[in-house]
Amino acid sequence: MPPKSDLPQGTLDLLILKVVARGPVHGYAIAQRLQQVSRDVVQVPQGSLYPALHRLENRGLLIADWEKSETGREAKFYRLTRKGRAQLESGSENWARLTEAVGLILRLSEEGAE
Amino acid sequence: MNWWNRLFRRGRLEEQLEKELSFHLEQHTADLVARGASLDETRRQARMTLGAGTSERSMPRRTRRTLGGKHSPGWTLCFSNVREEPWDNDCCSAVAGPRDRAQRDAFQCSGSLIPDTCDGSRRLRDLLCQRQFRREKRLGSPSYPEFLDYQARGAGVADFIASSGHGMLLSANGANELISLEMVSENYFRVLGVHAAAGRMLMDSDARFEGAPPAILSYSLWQRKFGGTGDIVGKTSCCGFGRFLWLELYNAIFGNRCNTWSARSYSHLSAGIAHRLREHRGNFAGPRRGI
Repeated sequence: MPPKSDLPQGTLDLLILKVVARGPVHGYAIAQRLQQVSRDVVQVPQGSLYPALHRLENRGLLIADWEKSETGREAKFYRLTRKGRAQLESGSENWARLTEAVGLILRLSEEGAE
Repeated sequence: MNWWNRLFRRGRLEEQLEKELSFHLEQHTADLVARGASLDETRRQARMTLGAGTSERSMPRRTRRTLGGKHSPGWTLCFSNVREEPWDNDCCSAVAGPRDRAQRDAFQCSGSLIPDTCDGSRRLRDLLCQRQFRREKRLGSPSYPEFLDYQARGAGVADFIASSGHGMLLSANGANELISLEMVSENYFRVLGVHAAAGRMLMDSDARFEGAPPAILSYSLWQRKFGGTGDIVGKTSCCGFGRFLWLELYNAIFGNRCNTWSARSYSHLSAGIAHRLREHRGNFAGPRRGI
C-alpha cells in the first residue's frame, strides 16, 4: 500500500465537491471513492471528512437529504448546489494554475542545479 | 428567541451527526467483515478508524478542564463537550466520585461514543449523567462493582471501560520514585487498541490472579527506570504496597498521563491501597479525587 499523503490545506473541500458532482453520495462512499481513485494515497479520516461536509453544507455548496442507502439504512446523501458547481469549477481552475506554476518552479530549480 | 432556535438547531445537528457517524461505522464494519475479519475485530478497527486512540491524548485534558469539584454537572458538561467534537473522539469520559465516603478512590468511566444501538446510547448517557442513580435515589457515583454490573447488563453499550488512579512509590535500581498507577478494567487496552511493545497486555484472568499483580509499564518509565531492557518482562519489583509483575506497553498514545496500569478486582485493591495509604501517608501522593 502506498504511503498516505497529507492533503494541502483547502484541497479536501475541492475533492469532496468533485466526488459529489458525480451524483448523490453519502459520507462513507465519499471517503471510499477518494481512497479508491487516489489508489490509497488519499485517505481522509472521518475527523476531517464530516466537519468538511458540514462546512460545505453550511456554505450552501452542498445540500443533504436523508435517504435509504443500498443497505436499506437511512444515510445522509449530499448533492452539489449550483453555487457548489461554480465553486468546483473555479477551484479546479485555480488548482490547475497553481500546480502548473509549482511544476514550473520545481523544474527550474532542477535545471539550475544541473 | 435566537438562542432558543440555536439550542434546538444544535441538538438536531448533533443527533444527525451521530446518526451519520453510526452509519459510517456500520458500513466500515460490514466492509471489513466482507473481507473476512471477525466481527469483534472489525468493530474495534472501525472505532479506531473513527477516532482512534490518538484522541485519548486530548481527552483527559479536556475532561480536566471541564470537570470541576462537583461531579454531576461536570459529567453532563463533559459528555456534551465530547459530543461537540465526535469526529476526534471515539471515547467519552466521566469521573465518578466516591459514593461511599469511606471509599475515597475515584474511577473514570469511558465508553464508546458510537454505541451499537440507540438504546445503548440512551443507557450510556444515563450512566454518565447519573440519571439512573438519581432515579434509584442513590446520590453520588457508581462504585466499581456497580460499574461491572452495569457493563454486564448493558449489552447495547459496546466496550465500556473503567480506570482509577493512585500514586505510589516505585523502588528500583536503588532509587525510589513516585509514580502513578491506574487500576483498569481488563478490557481497557483492548478497547483503546493499544498493543504491547514487549511482553503482553492484560488478560481477563489477570484480574483473578492471586500472586503479584501483573502490571503494564509505560514506555517512558521503562526507558527511564529500567534502561529499556527486555528482560524486565516477567520480573517483579517492589512498588508501593506490594510486588508487581511487569508486562510492558508501548504507550505512544497515552503520552505521559500515567506510568503503570494494572487490572485487579477493584474492591480488593481499593481496600489494600486505602490501608497502605493510611499506613504510609507521608510517603505517598493521596488518591486522586477525580482526574
